[in-house]
Amino acid sequence: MESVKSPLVMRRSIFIHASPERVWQEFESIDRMRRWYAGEVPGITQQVLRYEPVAGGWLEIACQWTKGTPGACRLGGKILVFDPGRELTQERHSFLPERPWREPIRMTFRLSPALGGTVVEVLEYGFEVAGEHAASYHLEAEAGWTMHELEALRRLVEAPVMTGASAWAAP
Amino acid sequence: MEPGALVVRRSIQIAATPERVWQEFEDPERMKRWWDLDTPNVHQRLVRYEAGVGGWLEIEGLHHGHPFHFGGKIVAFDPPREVTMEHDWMPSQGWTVPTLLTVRLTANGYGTLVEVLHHGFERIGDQALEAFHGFEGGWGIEELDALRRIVEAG
Repeated sequence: MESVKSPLVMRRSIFIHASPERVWQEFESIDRMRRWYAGEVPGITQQVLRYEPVAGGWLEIACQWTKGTPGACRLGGKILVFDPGRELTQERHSFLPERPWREPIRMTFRLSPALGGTVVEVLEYGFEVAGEHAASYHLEAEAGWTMHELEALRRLVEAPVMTGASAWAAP
Repeated sequence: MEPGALVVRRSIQIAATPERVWQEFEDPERMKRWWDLDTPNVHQRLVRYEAGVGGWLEIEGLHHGHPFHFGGKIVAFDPPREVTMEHDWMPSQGWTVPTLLTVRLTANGYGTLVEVLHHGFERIGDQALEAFHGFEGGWGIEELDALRRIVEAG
């Protein structure tokens, strides 16, 4: 993908039995995003604070976790690529004072048709902007990313009827 | 080996050359130091390792309390860049062919990026998607982090 130039990449992926166009419907508004990109399970809470689904728009989340070493995040930034059915790429600033990235890292959701459905990948990269901390931020991303978001997206798309605020579920 | 659409990837950056990292792939004693794990969720032992093409890697243990045992033939061994082995349950659970597990080393300006790529799910038949989802949910970075600590310790 053109957007990914960084060798330090965190990747998670999932297969969904639906077309990329159908999956992308869940990226089209903040209400849709909140059903899968936000949620709560024991030990982890995540909120979508702001989402403007357009190139030049904005995506920002807050999270808290109590598993392992307790922590929090507030991550967000400008949407650089908004290519319906294919890719959403954003800048990710860290807005917490103890996590001072001078420049934003990046995150991409990529949808690819495969095997009669869609492979959805989430990629977090560009940790090189953190200089001497690059490897440790990359390691935190590899250790910290769960499948809650992508599993919730899959459940929403594959379920014939889904009600309620969020599709997160305990593992 | 280039993976297909269904691939599970984990990675870590190590402050050392690929040649240094690769030393930890060279014999069973070295391999056991980072493949043997005792974490809250995973207990595993490298029970057999023969380096080189045609060699073998085999691991057994407990994952969240569930016993597992897998192994397979080494099909690519390219120091200090790549080792790829077949990965199937022992005994077989009905996959028509094994999946593939690649460990790839790439030098960069900071040292070496080490990637674990579990792929080849498309080949195994009816259980392809279930197995892919299971491993995407199951793979951690404990082995890679152990490898990093050993190499960076000297």
